[in-house]
Amino acid sequence: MASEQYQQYKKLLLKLHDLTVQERDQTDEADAVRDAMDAPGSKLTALEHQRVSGLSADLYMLLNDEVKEPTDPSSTPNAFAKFWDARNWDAVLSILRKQNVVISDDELAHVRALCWEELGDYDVALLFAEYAAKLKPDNMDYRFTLVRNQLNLGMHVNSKTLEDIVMHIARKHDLPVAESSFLQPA
Amino acid sequence: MPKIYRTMLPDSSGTKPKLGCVDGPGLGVRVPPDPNADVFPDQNGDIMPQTGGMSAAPSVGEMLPHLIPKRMKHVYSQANGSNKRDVWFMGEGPFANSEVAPSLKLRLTSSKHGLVEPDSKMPIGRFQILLSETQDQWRTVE
Repeated sequence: MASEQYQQYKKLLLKLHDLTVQERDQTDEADAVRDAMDAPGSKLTALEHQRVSGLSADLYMLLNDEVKEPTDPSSTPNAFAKFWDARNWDAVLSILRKQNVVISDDELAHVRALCWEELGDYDVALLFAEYAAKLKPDNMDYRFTLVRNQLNLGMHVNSKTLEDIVMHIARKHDLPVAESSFLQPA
Repeated sequence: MPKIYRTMLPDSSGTKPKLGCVDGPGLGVRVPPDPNADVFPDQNGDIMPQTGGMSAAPSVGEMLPHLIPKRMKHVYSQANGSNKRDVWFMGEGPFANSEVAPSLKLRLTSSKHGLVEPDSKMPIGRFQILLSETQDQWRTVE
């Protein structure tokens, strides 16, 4: 369970990201947001501090302005698999920030969405899932991650979208679901 | 004396941090009614040790992203701070609970964050003066 100060800091960081999207991140309004980040920021644990720093770097991907961290020889596919299996999402996210990790933007955005979702940060996961789906609109796995996080956040998802997703999962796993029948009223 | 880093606006000379925290971060602490107050003086205007102070970090890379000027993003990929502000440092010892200047102590709240606080009960005005007296010891990292 994330702490209150982590949630407060993250909320303000996402607000700052919104202002950056609008090219208003160097305004008095943005500085007021930054000043409000001091108090929750001063109470973060070292792990929470590391996580929000990583989030700040990751968000630049959505602006096509990400700066990758220097090459790290320990950031190998084996290390990635090991951390993934261990469900060490912070470590997986850290590997994805290295220059020597070669992955397409849509896949990177999707894996980031999955990691942030596992960490319980559905609002962050939604941003990356939206970006992945924007880059590859026909990818049903991306759309499924997008819809799942919308549902995690209690957002409305229209029935046709849900139907498409469920049919996709059914086909993918060879499940016997009759086309369009499961959402019919009883 | 620990080496500490802090993001502050420059003064009019551009070579020293601004004194006080009115109109942006400087050398000092914010007090009520500032909604982001760092310290809360009692009814006599006194503050106590270990109840709040001026934030500091052990290095630029370990500062929170909103405190690292965005112009430094090519080095610190998380940077999302104001470009009007500079990162300053003073001291040269390890980042540990210790004296920063006469009557001022650094108290770590985590391995990445600390507070410069009074070492004994004192009036808030006295604390602000003690902080301002360190002005000549600060240098920018850029």
